[in-house]
Amino acid sequence: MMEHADALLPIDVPPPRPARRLAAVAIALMILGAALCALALRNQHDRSCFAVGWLWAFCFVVSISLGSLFFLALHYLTHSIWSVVVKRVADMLAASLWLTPVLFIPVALFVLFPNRFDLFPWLGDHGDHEIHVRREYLNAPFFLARGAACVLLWSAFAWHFVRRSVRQDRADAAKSLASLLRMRAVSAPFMLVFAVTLTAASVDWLMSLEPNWISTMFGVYIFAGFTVTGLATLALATVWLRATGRLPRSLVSDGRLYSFGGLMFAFVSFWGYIAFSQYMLTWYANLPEESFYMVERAGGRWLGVSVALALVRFAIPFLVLLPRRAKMSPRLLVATSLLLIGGQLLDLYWLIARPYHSAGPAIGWQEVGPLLFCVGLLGLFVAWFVSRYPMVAAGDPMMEMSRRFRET
Amino acid sequence: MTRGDSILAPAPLIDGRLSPRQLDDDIYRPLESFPTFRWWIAISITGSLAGLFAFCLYFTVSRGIGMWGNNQPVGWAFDITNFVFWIGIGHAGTLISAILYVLRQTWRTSISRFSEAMTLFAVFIALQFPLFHTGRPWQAVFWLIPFPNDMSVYQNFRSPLEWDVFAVGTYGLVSLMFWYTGLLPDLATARDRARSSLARFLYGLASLGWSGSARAWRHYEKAYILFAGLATALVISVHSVVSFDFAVAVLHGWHSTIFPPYFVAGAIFSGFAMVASLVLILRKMFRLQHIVTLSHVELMNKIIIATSLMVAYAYAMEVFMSWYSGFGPEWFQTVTRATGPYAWAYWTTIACNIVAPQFLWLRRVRRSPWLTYPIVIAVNVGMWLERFVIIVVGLHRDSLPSSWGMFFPTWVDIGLLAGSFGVFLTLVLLFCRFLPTVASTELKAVTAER
Repeated sequence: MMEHADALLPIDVPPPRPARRLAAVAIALMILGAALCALALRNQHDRSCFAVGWLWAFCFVVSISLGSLFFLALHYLTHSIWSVVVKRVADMLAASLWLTPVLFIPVALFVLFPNRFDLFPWLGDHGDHEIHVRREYLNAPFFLARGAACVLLWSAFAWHFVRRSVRQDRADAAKSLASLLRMRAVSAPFMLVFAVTLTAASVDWLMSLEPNWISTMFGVYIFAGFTVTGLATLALATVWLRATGRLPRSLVSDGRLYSFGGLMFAFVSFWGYIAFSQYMLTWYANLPEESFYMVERAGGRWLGVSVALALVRFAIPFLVLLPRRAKMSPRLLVATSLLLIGGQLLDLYWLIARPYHSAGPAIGWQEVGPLLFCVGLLGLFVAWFVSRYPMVAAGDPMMEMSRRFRET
Repeated sequence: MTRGDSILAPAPLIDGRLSPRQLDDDIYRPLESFPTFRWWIAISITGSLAGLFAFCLYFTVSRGIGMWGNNQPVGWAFDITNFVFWIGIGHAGTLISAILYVLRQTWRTSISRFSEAMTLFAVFIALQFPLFHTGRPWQAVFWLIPFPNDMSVYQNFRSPLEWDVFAVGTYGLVSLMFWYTGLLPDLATARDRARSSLARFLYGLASLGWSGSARAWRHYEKAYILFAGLATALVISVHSVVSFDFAVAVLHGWHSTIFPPYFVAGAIFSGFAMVASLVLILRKMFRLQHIVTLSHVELMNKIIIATSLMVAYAYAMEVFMSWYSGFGPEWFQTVTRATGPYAWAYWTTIACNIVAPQFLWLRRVRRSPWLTYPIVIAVNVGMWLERFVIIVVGLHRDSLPSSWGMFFPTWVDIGLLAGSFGVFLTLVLLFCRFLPTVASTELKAVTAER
């Protein structure tokens, strides 16, 4: 919190350089993933599993990028000082939202060809009179329009923030300042757009898979999970960039990691609070029209997934991150981040796959294919970004202030 | 300093450069001077209202709960509305003192002490309503607090009302200890500055013999951060448990999973509105405009608009989900709120809580006490009505039209509502006379750090 009056040495910005190993691994994952996806398209059963897997992988990648975009907007909105030194990491992951319009295309195809993929139960005529959804909301054209609006708006906002941020690197002080003030001004309306689009997306892509179920908390639940995932990935990327010398250790000290740990701890607690409230209220009221969602996930082999979810997403990270020292330890932070990212995969699987695997959780190669492909694509994007842009936002007018900032 | 630095640097914590001595002089002046004429006028008005509160309580106890407008089917009305409203008011205090402390927001220091005190008064008032709703408050301790008895009769631990006893009780106690811990160094300052020996003795007693030694400070800092951490969790849990009073019920309009965070956001929203409506007057009355600056007003207004939007999100989700579900009774409840006999309350809530705060998008409005004032008053009204809508509208039209009914408040209901404000403001006025309203020691520390 305290600031020193003495002058700081100029920052030594490591120039961008290619991340060949990451790119090679990413390409290998993509090729393997694409091959599995192609294999899965052959027959009806594999295609259905592929559709489930694609939705799973798509939502996972969106959670990383959108969580990072939220972090970035929050950074501007709150005039945050500590996070300026890691701003470019958030820029990088938020920019990966540009991939989402492409990744959304298969989801659109699932909706356009319901007989071939059989993903959304509200599509087509199943003769299931139990489904009493609002057809005026859940229909193919409106669904596609909403989805397209979401991914395009996210991409546009990511474009706005990231393009201005990288331009600051070369701009003069006055331009940089104007740019920063502009981003701050846009960050507030972005939050409104974010709340509406994230809720619409979570209802469409996740909640409507069991169209008879509703929970007014659902959007908040998804938001909590996305934010935790974004933060975990940011922390992971920051430690990686620091270890590979792209982010100077003088800029991001272990002490600076404390803020990541603190925020992560806060959002882990928030997720636990939201998940508990949603579950407890459903359980307590025990109304058949809504409790079935929890009942079917609390029986048989799905119970294990539900319990694991509570442990991985809340109990373990909460206890690990509670001590002050843990928040500053890069090793513990990486371990917790990996656990939380795994938790997001588990959570999305818990939300998506239950209707298709009522006997018990099962992950086949058909589901793994899309995941490998999407994660590979994200990795390739990261490799491209680090080879092109410096990882230190040296042109940010707040950089000096951020470097002087000390965790207390 | 470049142009950028002057724009980007955080606003100063206080206007102008004050020595620690001058700061103390300004903060302790109300304690050390004879009350002004205006103070006497104010306390006589609020004191009369507090008297009305006591009279209405007496009337309630002597004649029975039938003096209230509560009936079948509206079994909860003004009492629980007031309870939730006052508990909510307390939230801003804990948010400012604990959550903003954990988030290292040093600007909180100028308003933290006052809002913490407000929390305690609000919780105290809130407790009166469920207590007196039991009908025989002097026996309520046996009904509410579990302890062994001959009849082996125990509380129903499955009832959220019983959870309330623990949630609110813990919250009240931790808030009290937190507030008192923070007050210790300032009480010692008041002791050291006191001119009469009685005041020196009393402030000395209250400060627990604070010596200001390094050891005392070390313990103090540890205790403070510990209480802040506990209070952060409690401020979330207490209003969540209050929301469970409604959300666990199988009643359309009450059972909604978003209730816990929605209630917490609403509580912070109404609490900040209350802090703003009092602080704007106090900073003028006690000439503290350089300590509670326009930047503070602006920051408070930013929190008000942020929480207003969260509340708006919750309103929107309730309407959307009741429509999306295609479930008749849920949608009927939504339509009843908007078009039924209490539609005026619903639309006033929307106007006060959602529409009015939108003016705070403008920086000019955020930084103007005069333009802020009507907005925060509107929010106070709106948040009270919001609880009224949830409770009374939810109850008055059941699934069976044969059991529909209306609620009309009696004069006792209205007297208790008005009187609760009287008690609250009386306590605030007394607090301003006898205790430092600004955390002077902490303010000195954070301004020195800057």
